[in-house]
Amino acid sequence: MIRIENLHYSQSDQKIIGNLNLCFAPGSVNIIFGPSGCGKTSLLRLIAGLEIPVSGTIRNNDQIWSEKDFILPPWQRNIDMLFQADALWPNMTVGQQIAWAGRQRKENAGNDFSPEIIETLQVNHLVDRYPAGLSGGEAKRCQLARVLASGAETILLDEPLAAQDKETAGNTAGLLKQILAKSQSTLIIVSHEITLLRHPDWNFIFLPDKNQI
Amino acid sequence: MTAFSNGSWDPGSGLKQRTLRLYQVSFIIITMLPFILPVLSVSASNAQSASGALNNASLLMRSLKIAALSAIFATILGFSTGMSLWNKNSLPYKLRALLIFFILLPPYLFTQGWMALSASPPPGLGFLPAPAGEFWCIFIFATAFAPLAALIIGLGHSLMPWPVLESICLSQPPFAAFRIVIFPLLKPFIAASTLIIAMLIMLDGTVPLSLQVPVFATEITSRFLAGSSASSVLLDVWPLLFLMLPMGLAAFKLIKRYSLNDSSAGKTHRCLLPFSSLPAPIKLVLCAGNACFIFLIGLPVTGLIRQAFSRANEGLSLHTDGNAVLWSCGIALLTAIISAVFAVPLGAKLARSRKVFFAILAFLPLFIPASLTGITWATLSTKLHAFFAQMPDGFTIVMAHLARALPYTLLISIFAWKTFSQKSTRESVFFFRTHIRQRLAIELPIFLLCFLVAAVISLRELETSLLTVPPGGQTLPLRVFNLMHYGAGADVCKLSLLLSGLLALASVIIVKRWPK
Repeated sequence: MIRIENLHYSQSDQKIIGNLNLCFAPGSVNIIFGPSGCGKTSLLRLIAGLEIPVSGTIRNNDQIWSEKDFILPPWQRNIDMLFQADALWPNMTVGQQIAWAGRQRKENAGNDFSPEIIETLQVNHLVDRYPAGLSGGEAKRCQLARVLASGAETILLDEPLAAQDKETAGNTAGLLKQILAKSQSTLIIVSHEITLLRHPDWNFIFLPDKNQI
Repeated sequence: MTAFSNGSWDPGSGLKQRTLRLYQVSFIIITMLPFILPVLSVSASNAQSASGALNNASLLMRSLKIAALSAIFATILGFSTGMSLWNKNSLPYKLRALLIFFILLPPYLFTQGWMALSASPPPGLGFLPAPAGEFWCIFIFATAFAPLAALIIGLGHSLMPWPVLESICLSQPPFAAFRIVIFPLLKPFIAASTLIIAMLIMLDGTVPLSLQVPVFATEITSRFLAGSSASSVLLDVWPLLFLMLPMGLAAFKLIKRYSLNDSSAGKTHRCLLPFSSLPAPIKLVLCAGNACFIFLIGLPVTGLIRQAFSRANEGLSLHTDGNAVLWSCGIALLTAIISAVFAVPLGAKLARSRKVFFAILAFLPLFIPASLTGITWATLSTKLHAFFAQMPDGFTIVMAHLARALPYTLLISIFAWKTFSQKSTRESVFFFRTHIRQRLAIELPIFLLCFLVAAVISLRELETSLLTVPPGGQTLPLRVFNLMHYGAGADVCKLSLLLSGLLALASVIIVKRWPK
């Protein structure tokens, strides 16, 4: 269980997150939404270990992940993240990247769902291409495929439906639901498209502006 | 507004197109003058060139061997420091002003430093043999250019797309992240660094001259001073130019893959790859690499300091040495002002232009050896004696320094304009009432940067000064070079330290003033 306690975070003396307390159950799917600038992406980056909190604690079960003077390196957290910007590795084809993530999963969990994920997210025709030749939406779906194929214990998705038109975003949301139904990972998703991601078993968390939860 | 709409005004530089064209023509004339050498000297000796051809080939091969080996060693030596530059908490990042200082330090001062070390009294490194020969030439070039390699590798690392690095570091430990993504993306920069350093070494004749190793660059000066005509010298130089052109183009193409306007440019990270979390073998490799880098680069400077304050003081002459300092500062000041005035508006135009002609304009002069520039201006001042006699003392040397400084200043200007926010340039129009105040607000930091770079290049320039200095005149590098022949005495070390001090001051200001 990921537990966030009294979390404060500032950037260049500007308060981004203030006194945040949250809890994410193992295997749950959590959608975080709220107005722009309320600290949604910062929260994901804090959980990933890419930012250091001003105060407060982020822990997973008994293991401390982040606190004021300590940060567990990101690669020791069994975590993966879909970034808003293009994060595909330019030196590998899409297929190589997804297969590589699948191998990681096989080493950790003994199974590899990457062919199924490629099929479900409909990126079969892109596997032989390098990221430089992809459109924004295609790159996003390929990155999503790589993240989901990694099968990390915690998966963070930052705006998975961004850079896609309404119809494509709707399709991707449907496909995402199919994949997440079988997933064992704890998912924390930041999205503005909450209507597309509506699901009875998923938790919705509203982060107010300059939040005081 | 009318001027803007009919295209007579350049929005980047804020100058009229006609004025800019004048600047471009002046730039071409000043920097590419060596190519008119055959016109200046009509009595070309074909026999002389033919007999020298065979000798040229062996000299060129030796130059290439020294340049290639030195560049490879410099890149290896600078690698770990370049990698560490990315992390805000690392020692190399904190000491980056020192890194810039060592980049600005002319390689012949490294020779002087090692000479001082080998001549130092016990306890010291007096057991070292006096630097001479090819091995020392490669060693000194490698240590002198390692800081530049570190900077290029560090720049390459900081230009990598931000989320790409973060995504690999989320799932993989540092070594695997390095192997899978960082190193493959860094390879073009490593190759470009080796090529650029090899080119600079092939053009440099100062270290081989001080170590008495004949190479292609020194041979140009020697032949001219021995009485060869300027046009035969140019004919002899063509193989060097032809060799360097593909090297330069390859380096340019390799670096061009990365956009300088990338949002991640110039950033450093404080969370990813914190030193404390790295595995012990990587920590050891980085520490050993950095220690080796600091030791080999810092040692010659400590040699200079120790020798400068040793008791064997022969006494500096205020007349000769003081004049040399004054001459150097005066020439540097003039060169810097003129270079900055030319380079800032030209840089603004070229930063936005995608025309190949403009790229050639900026890069071609970089392939001209300093000795050739010196020979050109020396020949010109002899041929047009009546005109040059009317000019103030030192006109020729200032023009020669200008020809050396302008291409580098223009490159820095283009780089600064590219990293400078284009939006703020446009928006400044709304904030300031007068045109001059608009331009000042935008251009002052870039002007200062170009001024400093040109001043540094002029201050350390030796080869052109050797050929163009007027009778009775003496610059600081020339004085150092002349005294070097008598060994590493206290006086020459003091003068070398004085020159280093001026360069250190410039490097501190450059680091503080560089647009964030």
